Amino acid sequence: MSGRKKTLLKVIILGDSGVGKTSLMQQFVNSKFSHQYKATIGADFLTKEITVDGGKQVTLQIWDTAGQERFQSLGVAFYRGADCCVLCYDVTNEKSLNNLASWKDEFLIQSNVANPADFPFIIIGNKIDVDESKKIASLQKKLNNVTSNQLGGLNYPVFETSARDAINVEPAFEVVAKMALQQEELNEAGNDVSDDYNDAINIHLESESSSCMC
Amino acid sequence: MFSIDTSNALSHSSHPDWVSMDIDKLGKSFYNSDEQPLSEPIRNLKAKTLEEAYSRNDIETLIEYSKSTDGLINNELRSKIWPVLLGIHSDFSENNTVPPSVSSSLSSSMTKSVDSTGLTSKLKLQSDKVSASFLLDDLDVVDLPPHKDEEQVKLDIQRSFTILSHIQSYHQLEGNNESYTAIFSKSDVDELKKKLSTLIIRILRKYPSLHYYQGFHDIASIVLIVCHDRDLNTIDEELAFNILEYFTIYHLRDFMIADISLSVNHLSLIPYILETVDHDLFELIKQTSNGFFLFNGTHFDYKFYQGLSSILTVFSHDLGSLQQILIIWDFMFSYNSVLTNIYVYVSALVYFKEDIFQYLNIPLDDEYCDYHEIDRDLVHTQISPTNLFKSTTDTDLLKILNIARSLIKKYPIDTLENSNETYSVWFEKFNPHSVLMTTSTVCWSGKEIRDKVSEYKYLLSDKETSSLDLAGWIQIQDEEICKQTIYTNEIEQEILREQEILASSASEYQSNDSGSISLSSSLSSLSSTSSAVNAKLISTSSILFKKLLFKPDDSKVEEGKPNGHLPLYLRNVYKISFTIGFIGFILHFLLSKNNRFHDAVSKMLTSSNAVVSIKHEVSTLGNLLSTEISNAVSGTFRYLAESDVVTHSVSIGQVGLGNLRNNVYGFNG
Repeated sequence: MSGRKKTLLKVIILGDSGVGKTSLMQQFVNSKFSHQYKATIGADFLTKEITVDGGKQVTLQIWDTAGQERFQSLGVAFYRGADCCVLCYDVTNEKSLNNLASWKDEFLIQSNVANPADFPFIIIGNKIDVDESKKIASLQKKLNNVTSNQLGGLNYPVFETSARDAINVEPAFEVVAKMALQQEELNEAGNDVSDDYNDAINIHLESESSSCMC
Repeated sequence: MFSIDTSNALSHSSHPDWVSMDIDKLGKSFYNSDEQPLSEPIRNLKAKTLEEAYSRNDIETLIEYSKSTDGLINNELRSKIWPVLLGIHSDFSENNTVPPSVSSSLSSSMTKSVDSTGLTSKLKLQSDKVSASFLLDDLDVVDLPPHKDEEQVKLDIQRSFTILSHIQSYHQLEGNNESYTAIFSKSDVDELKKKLSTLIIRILRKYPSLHYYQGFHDIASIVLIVCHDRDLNTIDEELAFNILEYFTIYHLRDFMIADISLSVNHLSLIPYILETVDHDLFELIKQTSNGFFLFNGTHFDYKFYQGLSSILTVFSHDLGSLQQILIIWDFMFSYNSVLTNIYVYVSALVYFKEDIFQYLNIPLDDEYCDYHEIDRDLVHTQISPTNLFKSTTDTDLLKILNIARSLIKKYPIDTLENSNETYSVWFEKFNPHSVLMTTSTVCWSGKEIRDKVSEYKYLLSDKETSSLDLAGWIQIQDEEICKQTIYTNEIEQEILREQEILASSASEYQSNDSGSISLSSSLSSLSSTSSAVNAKLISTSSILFKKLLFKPDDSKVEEGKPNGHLPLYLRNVYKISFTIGFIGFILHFLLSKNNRFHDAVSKMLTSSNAVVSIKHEVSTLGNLLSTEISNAVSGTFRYLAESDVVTHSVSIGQVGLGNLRNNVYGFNG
């Protein structure tokens, strides 16, 4: 189960309903935008091959999830083995900004990642194409407040994007890919310990622990 | 007069002999027309026959034809016949006149709102300003406090009627002139959204105990489209409300309680049915499921989240063609049960099975298949609705429904393999108030529908008139599913515990370093399925467990040598535990091997000065023991005497070396 030939990076997009998770994914993967995206129920993913710096080919597997709270408890089925998590908010919706921390916490509880303290998260504020007057007042200050107080003072990369006008979407996902790759390499390292961790129980470790010192 | 032609044509279309066909013989039918959608003349004949059956109140014919090819043909017929199949017209068979509207008694405030807006309100074709505030105009006529989920409704309304773009593509494909797009302009769609919002919010405000879910708006939009009169370009909103009300309360209730686990129960029926119906698909789903993996292949939890959107929206979220969605709805209403949707999903998997296995590169004829090699994410996609239904043709759907119909007949839900541990537990034992046990059971005749609907009619009435109203009912359902969750957790914790013991005994045989790492890693990954609290508990006890038990092996080897890197108290802990084991072993040996000793020992154990005697006895035998250990022994027994354990000394006799590990862990766990 270890030793995948291609590098597959699993990315989860989370955030409140209507912040534009599906639009971001569609814009990045298919370079298109529509007002007609259905509300997401459950979760599904799209994949895209990209080259990160250093010329390494990776496949991003991007999971789009439902925003409604009642579906949150089902996340445990999808979050497993994630390499990076994108926390989304809507720059016109203050509540979605304030909910970032709870999305992060919920993700950590359900995904059971090996390194919760330094698992890579990235923050995306979507819909910057809208009229300035509709945006959250003193956004930067509130955002700083959220990252420093609620998100544990960690310096997660922050991007402001427009999925509609394709602003900053590509750069954001390039960073996602880089962070996910780092996480994946971290997992691969150390005698596959983290890999076993992520792949859950495997009591017959005798054969595994000696293999793969590549 | 035209009856001969009609009945011939229709007997083909409804395949009366079909249900008896074996599932394996599917696709080998003699009648080519059986496998094709109806031609236009036959459609017209069927419509005419349905119209006639409707006017002579022949519900059995309506039920039979709803199940057959192309269902109820058109929305005009649907808007008349769905209410009959839902049991809204409870006097349909006895009374010759069809009531124009049954709504008036349902809710006084609702009825007033209808009168003021008119039963059928004209869709305005001119552009109407639609903004976030558009709801308010309609809402003040719904004179009830807002529902907690209205914000979410608003968000979803903005993303509703995406199906209309599908209608466009459908009619382009069919080359059909009566394109919906000619009728639904952008402003019409906005008007529809407004009516959709009103419709959903009326339901939610009338029944505040319901919890809205994303996807309910898809359901409501289908109802609204069916109630649209094409010729007048109007919508019978009252009819839409009645249909949605009955459908929601009788059939979708399980999805609208507070806890989503009951919806998950419904989804679990998909692998449950497959277990009997299709072994390959069942194994594929089972062996690539997260649950199976986390339980290390010892336990399958029947979780099947992939079907979520299809089941919650009766396929309206996932199928690209409105016609196809409506035919599935006809099919469902003919049984008066949402259980049929589970069968339809199963049938789709069965129908597309070859494609799925081919895509995953799994040979179907192989006896043995190594599912570990399969990419589980790919399986997820393959059995998800987006992929499953991405290019379903009308013919595909016809065949899928044919399979579903025979499965429903041949494999009633409570008679399948392993139902004692699955279906009976999920529904009969824990959730007797579920729609599948009460208001949405499969019906085979008009009488069954009528009886069922009238039995639970009180769920629809106003609070004051009934002792157990919908709110009370939903509360019971939430309590029921909560009990099931606790039960399931206990079972799964038990499995995890067994596996931990297994895992730790496996790692004892390993070398020190890798052993301790793998122990902790397997224990922590075991905990991933349990809740946060349990996870904490397990990891804490695993650390304790490891400290207590893992090291003694080393200390045995290194006995006498200083063990500098360990704190003193730890050394004592395993000295004591080792000693207990040793003494226990000796006692056990004495008790079982020597009858003379047996009496003596049991006397000693029951006498009041047992501690002293044992100490004495032990020290005479103790030529074998170092002084250090004998000190520890006396310490141990002093401790035991103090804590009254010695009165249950028989159990001490049982503490052999082999049992020690389990017992110590048992105290901690």
